[in-house]
Amino acid sequence: MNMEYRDHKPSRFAWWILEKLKVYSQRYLIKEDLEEEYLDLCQTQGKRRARRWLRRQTLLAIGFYVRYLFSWRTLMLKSYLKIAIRNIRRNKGFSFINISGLAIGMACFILIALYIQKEFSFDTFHDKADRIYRILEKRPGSLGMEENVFCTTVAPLAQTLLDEYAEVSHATRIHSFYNEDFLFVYDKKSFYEKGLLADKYFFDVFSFSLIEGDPQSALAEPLSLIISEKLAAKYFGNDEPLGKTISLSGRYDMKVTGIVEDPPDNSHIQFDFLLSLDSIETLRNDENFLNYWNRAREYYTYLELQEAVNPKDFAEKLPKFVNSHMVGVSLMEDLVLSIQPLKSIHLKSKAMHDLTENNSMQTIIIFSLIASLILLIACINYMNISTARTSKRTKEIGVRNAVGASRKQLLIQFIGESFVHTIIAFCAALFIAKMVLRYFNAAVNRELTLNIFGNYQFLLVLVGMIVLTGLFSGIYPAFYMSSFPPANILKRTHSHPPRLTRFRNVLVVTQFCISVLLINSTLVILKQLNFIRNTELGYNREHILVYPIRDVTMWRNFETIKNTILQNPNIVGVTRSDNLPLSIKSVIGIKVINSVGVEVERDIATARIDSEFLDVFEIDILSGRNFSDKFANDTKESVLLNETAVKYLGLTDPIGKKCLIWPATEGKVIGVVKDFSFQSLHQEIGPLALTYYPDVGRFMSVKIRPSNLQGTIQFIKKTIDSFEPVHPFTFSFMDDTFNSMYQREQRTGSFFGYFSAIAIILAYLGLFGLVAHKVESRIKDIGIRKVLGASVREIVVYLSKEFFILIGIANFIAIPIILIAMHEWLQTFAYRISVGGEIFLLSFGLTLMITFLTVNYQTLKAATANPVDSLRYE
Amino acid sequence: MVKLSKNEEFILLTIWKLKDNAYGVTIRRDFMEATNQTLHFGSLYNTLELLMRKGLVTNWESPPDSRRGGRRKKLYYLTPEGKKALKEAQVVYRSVWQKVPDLEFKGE
Repeated sequence: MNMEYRDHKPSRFAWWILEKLKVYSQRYLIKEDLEEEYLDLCQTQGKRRARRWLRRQTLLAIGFYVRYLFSWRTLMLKSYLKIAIRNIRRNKGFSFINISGLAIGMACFILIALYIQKEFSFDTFHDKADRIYRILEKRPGSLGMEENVFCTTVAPLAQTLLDEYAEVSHATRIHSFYNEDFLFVYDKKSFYEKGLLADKYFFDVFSFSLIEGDPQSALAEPLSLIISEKLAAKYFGNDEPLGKTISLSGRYDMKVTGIVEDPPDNSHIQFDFLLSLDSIETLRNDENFLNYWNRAREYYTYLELQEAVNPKDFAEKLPKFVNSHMVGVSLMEDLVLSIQPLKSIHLKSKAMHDLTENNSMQTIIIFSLIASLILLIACINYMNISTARTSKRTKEIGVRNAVGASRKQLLIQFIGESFVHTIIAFCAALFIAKMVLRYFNAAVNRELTLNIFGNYQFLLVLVGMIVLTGLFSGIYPAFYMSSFPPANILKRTHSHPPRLTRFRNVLVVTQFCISVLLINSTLVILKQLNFIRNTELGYNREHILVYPIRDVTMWRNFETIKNTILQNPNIVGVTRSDNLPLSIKSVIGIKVINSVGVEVERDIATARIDSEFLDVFEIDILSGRNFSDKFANDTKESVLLNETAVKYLGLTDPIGKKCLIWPATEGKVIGVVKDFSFQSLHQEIGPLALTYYPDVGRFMSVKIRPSNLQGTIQFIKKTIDSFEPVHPFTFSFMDDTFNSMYQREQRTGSFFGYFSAIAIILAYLGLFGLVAHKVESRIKDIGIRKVLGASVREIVVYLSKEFFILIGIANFIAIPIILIAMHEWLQTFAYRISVGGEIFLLSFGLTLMITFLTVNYQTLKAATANPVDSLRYE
Repeated sequence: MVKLSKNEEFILLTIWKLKDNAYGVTIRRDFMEATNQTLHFGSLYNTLELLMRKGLVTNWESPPDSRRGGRRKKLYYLTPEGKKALKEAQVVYRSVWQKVPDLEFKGE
């Protein structure tokens, strides 16, 4: 027999499984039975069939085993469920704290998960999203700026790459037309619309679907136009749009050749219409505009690579391309080309001039961290309150133990209970999330919808969240509660071991650490935003109305208009410039001879202004003089520098020094202006040169008096309307524009604000529960103390001392973490506050005050109660 | 009276029939021979579990048996209640069958 056994050794795996089927192997000796039958089969039917038989039997045995478990466990499960629900009913207050805490935590988690899912879904809807890349240009540093990667390139690049590299299967270009609104005139109505210019290969690469029109030819002709469904409904209603003509600014006729679905909100390419790219030659009045290698680096180039191509290999070939095509072309020689996957644009792009506002991986990480931390606070509440409440359930545990429940069964029961709570909380969380989704959408600037069966990944995240929450919050209480020896429990000699109290204290400190962290972050962000709003910019941006000049008639009659406007007593000044002090982005070459006589050639930021610019914006002149039309040479030759530029160019006595600004051949410095911030406050003030071009500015800025604002605006509108035949009057206030530049920070601020409020509510909910429990379990203790003569104050201090110490420790631990984290964030601003003690004091005071309210309400109630009542209790 | 399913009844009968040699392998074999149906071990154990919970069957673990290659076996016996249940089932069967006409159709 032994010999046979060795010959016909069955698979070890099957044996291992059979051993694991506990009841079967112990109670029925399944292994022995199967082995006997197996050996028999080996002899009668051969080894192979026997092995197959054994495998089948093993699998079947697992199935039956599961059925066995269920048939006998469902009874117990039913009983557990009943007990769980009874417990919820009996301790309404504590169950409410537990479940609502979990529900709020999970609602936050659900919302943030929704948001993150949306962020990761950007640009994934294109059929070939994996193979589409965008060309990035790294231009040699100008101004010493670090970020000099641009996502715009020259126009001929796309076609040349397509022709020369077999790896590229399609290439397309987009032009944003300087983010200008287009004026559409149709049927005597006119509207400003936002859209893009795209070449005829657009639909070869991207999967925006055309509802009407032919994707191959719709963008082939100049001035052919594809409109979105939204625009089609707006302009044509029920009419057929195809073949109709819409006028652009009343000057060009665009023919509608297609209707495209509105781009989904998770696309980084957003448009209401697409105009064929060839139209740009007409619009710019330049037949060669699409052929320049050395200028107009304004095109977004997207490539679709062949399926088998490794993008890394392709990227390595790009330097060679630069060498063969761009050497000898001015300003292009030091260019570094690279490719960027379409799907990573939204979260990872750091390039300048992106089509739409991008998000960053950092935000995603911070958001998910906040979501997890808030859920953690909720779980800790649950753990604390459940373990604290154990003493109320000792009898149940004792009886279960005494009638033979094993430790494992108790574990299963208690974890099961936490799952019951978690699932109830989840349903509540879905409800809460649905209710607040509208506000959340406004806060994160997205249009999210909550549909838990929408996609399987999200469903998986939710299931994972439920399981982790249930396990995490249930496992410690379960182990703790099932760990007492039954005799002790029934004799009621058991009291909380110091180990547990210590652990609970650690948990409370963790919770409050998180809350304090969030409070402090909010305070720092708010303070920084406030700081930005009140920073001295070096110019005055208040009460400045900005009107963009669009039409040639405006351009020609500017002097007349200006003089008419200035007649109104409420108008202080009018100026015209090609850039606003908010964001001067033009860069130009400048050549000077510095203080030691060396010729210096640098790139420098520049703006073209008129003689009123400095007055209207209240920018001080430190030395020299302002531009003036009295000096014939001022135009194009005279230069004003700011203080930083003087230092940057190495000049000591700048006034009157020779200074050439491209393309001038003559020129000198006539004055130095005080430094003013001309970019976002994330950046330091850079060097700046101002030149005098009184009749090229695209922006008219009007300084007005605050009284009778509406009347003044009406006056300006009327004046301009009498000169401007086509474009409807639009304007903006510089103050508003300035604030909108920091929208992202503002959103982060309000986001932190909301979530720290939630964290605080949750943490104090838990604290409230703990205090309530402490008072309840010490009720006799308090009674005896009072009888022995303790004062109310002494009892309150006795009961609440511990909690104040914990909050203090939490504040203390949180401080260094905040210092580090906030320092990182503040580094992104050139103008920043220092994180000082007052913020910590404020948050410390805040937490102490709320703790005082939470704790004292209950301790006072307990301390002022009549000791007779508490001692008679039982 | 204890309610028995058909499988339970057959297994009780088999255990009674096999006397001192009723263990997993033999019960299953005998059952399959008699009924011409397959019976998986798992299914057998679950039925035995039910019978034991109803108190109709007990078991006894025999020491390692040399004839069985040094393996232990679980032997099953009917309890007095088990025997009673079988008897009752028999009575019910008899009385039901008596009132039924012959199933063999003659002359067809």
